[in-house]
Amino acid sequence: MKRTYDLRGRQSSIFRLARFDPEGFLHALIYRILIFLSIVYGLVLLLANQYPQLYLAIAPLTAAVWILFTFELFEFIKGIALAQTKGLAFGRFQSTYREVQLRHAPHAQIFAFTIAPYLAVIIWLLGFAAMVMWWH
Amino acid sequence: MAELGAPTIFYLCSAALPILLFLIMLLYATGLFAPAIPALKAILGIVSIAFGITGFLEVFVNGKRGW
Repeated sequence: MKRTYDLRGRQSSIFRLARFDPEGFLHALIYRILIFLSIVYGLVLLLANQYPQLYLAIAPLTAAVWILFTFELFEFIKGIALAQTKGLAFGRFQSTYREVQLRHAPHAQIFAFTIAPYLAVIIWLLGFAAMVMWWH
Repeated sequence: MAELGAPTIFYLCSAALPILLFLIMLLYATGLFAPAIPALKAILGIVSIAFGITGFLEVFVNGKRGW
């Protein structure tokens, strides 16, 4: 496939994102790690009954997937918020245009979608703490 | 086929995986519906593998257009 370039380098390199979009870089890096980790995790879960020694791996793998998924959960809900509010939540509009759009926009809905990713992450991390406490 | 099916499954798995993890944790913690936990773990295993495979297709097959 033809490699595309722009003024910031090769477009398929995720490491260039670290300079101008660190959030995007983290998102791309973490979900590349999760791609392989989730396959291993799924196989361990499915094969643990047949190979009992795999039970030892379930707890650390669950913790790793849970922690890494925190950022992906935030980005997933942020993406939904962006789409549902037509960019008024988490969008990068020019300020005058944004102000005009906000005059006729449902403010409560925009507020709800703006806090939704943060709420989801808080609940998710509380769940992780609960999982660590109650794991047996 | 990879272009049409993989993204949809990937996004569905992206939603299902945390929901299943959280649900299993809640069931373990509360002791409710304990007999359902092994089945949920099996479903989580399948969803996790599907997430990984479709994510791989998205990133390394479809995702060559760059950022």
